[in-house]
Parts: sequence; C-alpha cells; structure tokens
Amino acid sequence: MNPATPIVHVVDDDESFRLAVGRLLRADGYRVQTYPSGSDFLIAGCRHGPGCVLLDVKMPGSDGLELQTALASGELSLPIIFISGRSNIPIAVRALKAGAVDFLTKPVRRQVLLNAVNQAFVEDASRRARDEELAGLRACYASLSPREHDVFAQVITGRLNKQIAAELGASERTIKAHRAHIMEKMRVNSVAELVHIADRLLAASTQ
Amino acid sequence: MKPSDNKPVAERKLISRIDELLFSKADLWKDHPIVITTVVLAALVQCGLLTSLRINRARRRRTEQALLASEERYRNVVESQPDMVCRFLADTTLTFVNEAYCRFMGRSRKELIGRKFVELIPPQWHRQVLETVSSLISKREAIHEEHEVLLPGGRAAWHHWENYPIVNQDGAVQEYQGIGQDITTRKRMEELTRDLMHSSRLTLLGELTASIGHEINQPLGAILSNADAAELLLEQDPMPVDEIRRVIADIRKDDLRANEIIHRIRAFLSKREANLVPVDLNEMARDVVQLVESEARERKVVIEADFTRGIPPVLGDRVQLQQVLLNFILNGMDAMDAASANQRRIIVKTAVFGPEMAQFSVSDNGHGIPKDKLPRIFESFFTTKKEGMGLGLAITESIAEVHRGSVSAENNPGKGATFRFTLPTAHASNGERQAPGMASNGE
Repeated sequence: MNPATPIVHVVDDDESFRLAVGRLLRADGYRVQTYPSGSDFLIAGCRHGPGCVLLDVKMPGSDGLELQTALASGELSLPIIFISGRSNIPIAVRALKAGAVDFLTKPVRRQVLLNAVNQAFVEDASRRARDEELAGLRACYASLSPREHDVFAQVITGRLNKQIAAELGASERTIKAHRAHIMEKMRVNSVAELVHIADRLLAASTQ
Repeated sequence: MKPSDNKPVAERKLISRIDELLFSKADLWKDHPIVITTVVLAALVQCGLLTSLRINRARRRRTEQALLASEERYRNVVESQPDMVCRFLADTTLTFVNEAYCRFMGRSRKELIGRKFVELIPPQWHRQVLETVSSLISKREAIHEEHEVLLPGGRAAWHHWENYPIVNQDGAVQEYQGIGQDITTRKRMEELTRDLMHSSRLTLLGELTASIGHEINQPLGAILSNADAAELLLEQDPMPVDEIRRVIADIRKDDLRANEIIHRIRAFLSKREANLVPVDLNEMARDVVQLVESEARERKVVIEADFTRGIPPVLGDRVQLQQVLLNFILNGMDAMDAASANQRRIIVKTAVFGPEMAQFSVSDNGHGIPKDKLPRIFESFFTTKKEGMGLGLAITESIAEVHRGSVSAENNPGKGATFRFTLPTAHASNGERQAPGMASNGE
C-alpha cells in the first residue's frame, strides 16, 4: 500500500473488540494496525505517518486520556477518537476539551465509526498540509541572507526604501534590490503577504 | 367570830357586802338560775372561742404554708417539665403556658397569654387544629395531632400535641389542656431516612447498572462490529468464506462471554456476604414497617400489619430479608400511585407455611401485574415502570436462592397483587433434611 495511505491505529486491551473492529475497517478498505496497549503503540513508532488513533478510554497501562496528553506533548499529533464501554460524561468532556475528534461508545455502529475515522483523516490531512506549508516558509526564510533578514524586518513595518536605507546605512538602490530578492525568495507579490508570513512564522515559533 | 371584827364600820360593811356576794352565791343561784347559767355559759363559750380562734389562726397559718408549699411543688413540676404544657379556651386563646412552652415557642409568657395559639401556626395547619379543638368539645377524650408552628424569625418547627378537655364538677368543659413535644428533630430524621432510602436504592442500582453495562458492552461491541464486517465480506467478490466463518465463530464466542458476565454478576449479587442466623420474622417486619411509615403517610398509604404470633425463627440474613420486604412494600406503593388517596392499602403479613417454613407477604390494591408480564417479572432488567431498572425483583430472587427459599407473585382475586417470600425455619435447616410428609421429632 502507498505509504501515504492513512492508517487507523486501534489501541484497545479487549482482544475480541480489537479483532472485530480491525476486520470491519479493513473490509471497508481502511488500513489498520492494532495494539493491546498505549505503550505498545508508542514503541511501535508508527506515529509519524498519516492516520488517526482509535483509543479505548479505560485500559490498564496508559490510561487513555493520559496517553492522549503524552501523545500531544511528544510531538505526535495524530488525531484521537476515544471509545469506551462506559458512557461517562465527565471523561468524555475532558477528552473533547483536550482536542479529541470524537467520543464513541461500545457497541459502535458502523456508520458512526466510519464518520469519526473520516473526520479524523480530514483533520490529520489539513494539519499536515499546514505543517508542510510552515516548513516551506521556514525554509524560504532560512534561505535569506543575514542582511536580507534585516531588510525583511524593516519592510514588514511598512517603511519606505529611503527610510530603511537611512536606518541600515545603505543606499536606497541596494535596499530596493534586497526587497526584490526577498519577495522572490519568499514567493510573494506584496508586502501584505510578507507581513502575513512573518506573523505565521512568529506564531509558530512561540508555540 | 370573823377576824374582820376589829375593822372600822365602813370596811365592815364592805366586807359583809362582799361576803354576801361571795357566800351568797347560793341565794343568787336560787333566785336567778337562768341568768347566771347564761352568763357563765357565755363566759365559757367566749373563752373557748378565743382559744380556738387562736388555735385556728395558728393552724390556718400552717395550712396556708403547707398549701403554698404544695402549690409551689406542683408549679415546679409543671414548669420544669421538658414537655410543653398549656391551657386554652375553645377559641384557642391561651390561658396558661409553662416555661417549656415559652422556651420552645421562643416567646415570653406575656406575649403568649391571651393570644390565640392558632396565630402561631402556619395557615395550612389551621383547619386540622381547629377541627381537633371542636372534636375535643364533643368527644371529651384526648386527641393527638402533629403540626408545624411558626417561631419568631420565620423558622418553623414540628410539634406533637396531646389535647384534652378539662371538665369541672358540673361536667361542663371550661378549658382545654395540651401537652406537647418538639419533634422537629424526629421529623428531620424521618425526612433524611426517606431520602437516604431513595438515594441509596437508586445509587446502589445505578452503580450496579453502570458497571454491568460497561462489562457487557465489551463483548456486545465486538459482536456488532463483527456482524457489520461479515455483512461487508459477504459483498466481496470472491466471497472470503473462511474469514466469514471465523467472524461467525468469534460472534458466538463473544455471546457466550456476555452470558458468562451476567452469570458472574448474579452470583456476586446473591452471595453478597449473606450471614445466616436465626431471625424473628415479626421483629424484622416490624422494623421495616416502622422505617417506611413516614413515607407511607406522605403517599397516603395505609399499612396494615397482620403478624402471626409465635412463628419459629427462620434462618436468614436479616438485612437481606429487610431489603426484600422493603422492596415489596415500595413496589406495592408504586402500584397504587394512580389509585385515589383513601383507597391505598398495603397488608404486610407473616405466617407459618407448612411444617418447616415461614412466609412473609405484601399485598396491595393497586393496578396489579399484567397477565402477560407475570411469568417474566423476576427476570433481570425486566421492568414495567417507565423509570424502573428492573433489578429489584431479580435481586430478590437471588436472595431467595441464598436462603434456600422461594419468591412468588400473583394477582389478587380482587384488586392488586401479592408478593410472597418463603423460607425454611432455623430448626428445619439445622436438622437433617427430611422428606416432605415425614413427621419431625416423632410427633
């Protein structure tokens, strides 16, 4: 299968449910991997490819919610669908507040499960796209020379070339050339777009 | 000759005069017997009167003191009563209140005497109180009642009163007397007990249902997903027959697993630390009836006890038996919710059942059990109530098993239903198991 095909990672200590759900998803055309516990999942190290996690809340070992926190902080941001034999409202609320895609209860209807998985894939895909875009921007920014960095910082404040030249102690013509290079390297056509990129880079770096 | 012969003539005349008087009494007596008798008698009587007057005054003083002391003693008794004592007229005007009354009502004697006590009672109780007073006039016997009173500061308290008319020598009623207690604490305890009964019943069952649900949802979840998977596999071309067979095998396995879980839970419920000792059924039943009394009163249900005397003790877990009886009674009350308020009757009965068993039963006159539901009524999770969880009677059956007894339900010939719990007596369980029909102890 194409490595880009998203995988549903089923993490549940109940063997028959793991088996049954795996069967169902495969029969529906999804790629599935199953694990008896959260630690097994983490050890397997498949968390970087596209996909989502179907996680049983009450499990020995890593409690479902703890796992979620661990996963989220460990730079793994696969979307998580919680599933449980108990429909416990406080736990569900906590899970959803912490960013879970959904909270399902056993026994789970096929369509409900599929909707949640598809939703999770969409979220995962859009996050990956965002991340990729950000990485691209970072790369572009990194490709600027130190001098260009300085000019960049000035341009996004809205200053004119003349002012920037005075500020940086260079000729206006030099500044104009720098500006053109920056626009090209950053693949933008306007200062407004440049500002937008700067905001995004700044926001990403403070997270 | 007399010695006075030597005295002068005047003196001699005086002396002879006196002599005459003194020694002529006999003559006076002969001449004026009545006058003299009267005078002497009068003198005597006067002396007597004076003396007795003095004696009387002394006695009266002692009596008064004794009376004062006695009154003081009785007043102390009344005033130091922990109970409230009051006297009132037919229009509820207070004519006397003791110290406890003042204290419990939070008002001074001055504020109370002359006031109509009906003013101190919340309006919803006025009718009952006034009816009691008018009954006292006609019935001339003590009447008990309970009602709330208003305390200064807006708080309310509960009082229990025993009122009776005070009849004077002519047989007319001039005043009424009441002896009362503050039962606020008791009422609060009743309320708490009632709440506790409800919430613990619900909490216990609620928790049971939650954990039962969770346990069973695991195999159920697997079964559903397997069934969904099989459906999809059936549509594949070529049809993966072997895999479908495996799916079906798994479904069967999970079904058995679910069944096993239910068995485990029922076993757990029935084995709940049953402590089998000799138990007096009547005493056990009396306790439950008392516990449920206030609830019954609030729901306008009359509970009649029909306890057979001298039932031999049964071998059982007192708490579990009480739970069963309580459940029967509460179910009975639920069944009568739709009946009109003065029709609701529950009869709690204890009786001997055959040579070696005893039985307690609860009959109501509610809506009865629908005929088609009757065979299933003890099943787990079976309920005819909208909000019911269907575990009460199933647990009852488990308890019956533990006690080597049985539980049954039937509709009454008239209205309502009867639930019975039968179990062996302690004697029967101790001795060797005897075949039915065999006499015991050679009798």
